[in-house]
Amino acid sequence: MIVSSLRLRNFRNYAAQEILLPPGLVALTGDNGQGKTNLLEALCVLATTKSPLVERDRELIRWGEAEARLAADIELSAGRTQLRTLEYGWRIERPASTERVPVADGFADGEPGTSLGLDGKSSGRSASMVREMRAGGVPQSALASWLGQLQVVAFFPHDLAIISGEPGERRRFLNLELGKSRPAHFADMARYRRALQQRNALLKSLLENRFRGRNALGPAVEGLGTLSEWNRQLIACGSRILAQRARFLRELAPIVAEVHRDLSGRDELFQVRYAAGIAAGVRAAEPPGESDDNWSALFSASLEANHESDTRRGTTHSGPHRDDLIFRLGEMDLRRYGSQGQQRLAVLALKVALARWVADVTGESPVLLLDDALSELDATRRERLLAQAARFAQSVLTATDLKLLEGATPALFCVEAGRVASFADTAANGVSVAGDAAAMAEDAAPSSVSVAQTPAADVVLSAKS
Amino acid sequence: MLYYARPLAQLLEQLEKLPTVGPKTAQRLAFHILRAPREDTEALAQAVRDVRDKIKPCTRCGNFTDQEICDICLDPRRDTSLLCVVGEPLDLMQIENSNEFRGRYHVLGGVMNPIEGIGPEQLNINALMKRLSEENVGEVILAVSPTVEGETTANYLANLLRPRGLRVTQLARGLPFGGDLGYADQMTIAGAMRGRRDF
Ligand SMILES: [Zn+2]
Repeated sequence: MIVSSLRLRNFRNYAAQEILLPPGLVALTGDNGQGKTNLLEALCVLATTKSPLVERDRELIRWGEAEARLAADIELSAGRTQLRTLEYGWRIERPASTERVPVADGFADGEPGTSLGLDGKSSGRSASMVREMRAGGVPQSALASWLGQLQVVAFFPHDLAIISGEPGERRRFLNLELGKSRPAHFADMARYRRALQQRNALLKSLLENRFRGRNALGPAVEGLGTLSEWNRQLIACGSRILAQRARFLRELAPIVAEVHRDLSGRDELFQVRYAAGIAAGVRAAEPPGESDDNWSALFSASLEANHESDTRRGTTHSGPHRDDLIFRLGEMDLRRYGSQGQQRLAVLALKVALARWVADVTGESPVLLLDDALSELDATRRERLLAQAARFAQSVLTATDLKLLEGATPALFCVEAGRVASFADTAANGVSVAGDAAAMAEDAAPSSVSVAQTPAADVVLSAKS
Repeated sequence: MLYYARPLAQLLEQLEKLPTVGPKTAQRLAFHILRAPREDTEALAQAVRDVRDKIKPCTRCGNFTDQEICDICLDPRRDTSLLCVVGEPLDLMQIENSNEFRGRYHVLGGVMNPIEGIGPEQLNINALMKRLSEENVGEVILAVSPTVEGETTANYLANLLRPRGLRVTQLARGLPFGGDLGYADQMTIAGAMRGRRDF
């Protein structure tokens, strides 16, 4: 799929902007702080409803404004006849007109919320955020049906943390990327987390009552009886997650190795391995593979093995919430011993491979987004990465310097102070995107999500470098 | 910040405690009450008092009633061999309104929820066991909500009930009736797929 048009209003430093994007390689150039990354972020928000860069939606809204909107036209690769428009908007509501509506936000481990409405976290009398999304003009309320309409795979420099950071970063990666192609994973995760909280609460109360010599949840025997019931629930939710992740990694690993070999130009094996949160020493008779039942047996054995420590410390020591990924380059543990350059190349390989996996699974090429991916690579690797990116129906990347794009022929856009111009216009007249943004914002009917399309503000691609 | 005369502020405060009522709705309700005829507001106040004073759980099934035993338990036309176990009286009303079920009910008064300190002891389970010994029930339908807590409760009950030689069933779930696959979210479809049956 490709994004043929992206429209922004009051998003970050953009007042009002429409960009017509061609298929293939697209490069956004300009100095730092001008708004290149914001365009990639906008595409991520449209795809997932969540910014990969900030926690709070408030920061996405242009300073001093109470409303922001994004819209994109999506064309599917096959046939190019199917076109759909996605619209996403925020509105800050003042306390006077605020209705408190509880929202199951589920943002805890980094996946998008499972329902829409108010921001959930802000209740009571503080200002709250109303979010609105439409596909083809029809209001959408379920995240599950929203996801997948625009598939993006994005690399941002902070993604280095997937390799160098704490295990939580890698679980976040697993959740998000698996959930984007299989939204039921988010529901499984939400149920699992709930079952885990309940089990931990029970363990804590058993622990407290052991010290106090009584049991609020009934006689001790009954307490343990309900523990086995909670175990069963935890295993039912958790084993599906374990099996899905095992399958995801089994499918992803060979693609990652291939892409990495191509990018590095060296015959070194880059391996991504799934380290499931199963107690050390618990071994399956045979590898659990991708069967829910096998993982269920393994998880069950793991809970049993950890029973003593779980009850002693009042918390659960095994399960998908303890999962991790192991990255190896040859024999080296990349997390501990890899140089920053090696880690960066590995994350890039991981993201490109992920995009290819999404294409395999969904039958539709995702849009690959690369933020500042080129600056720290040598010339050969830059060229190889650009060649990899060019294999997708559309790839949008940012670069501070045109020299970084040598060897490729991307469509060029110049970004300056929240305005975008095609490169030809820029070269001729400096940045000359006309159109009074403020006037444009007022022209649009307040009820409509679509950004007014002022021809003067359209950037029509007319040149390649 | 707006300031209200004290009695009005107190009414607003009480209204805002109600579920789904925010400041704006509370304001609308309060001003409506202010302008309403005196007999309406008296009736409202009396109804609120009565519901607290007169409604209590049915000693047999746990449903809300203003008698010792509720109308459903006393209804001789009900099929006494069927017992439907629900979490809350509200769930009972929902099933009752579907006019599909002609057996009787048992209300647990919640579901297992260790976070809130609710274990089997806090639920109406002993009374359920007593009923099963005294009444001639052939099938228990577990109709608790399919949340994590509800399912755990249902599993716990199923384990308690099976040794009694009862038929234990659970409400089917999946795609909404008359629902178009295209409009069902993927989680519902995934659940329906896992719970598929032979045609
Ligand atoms: Zn009754």
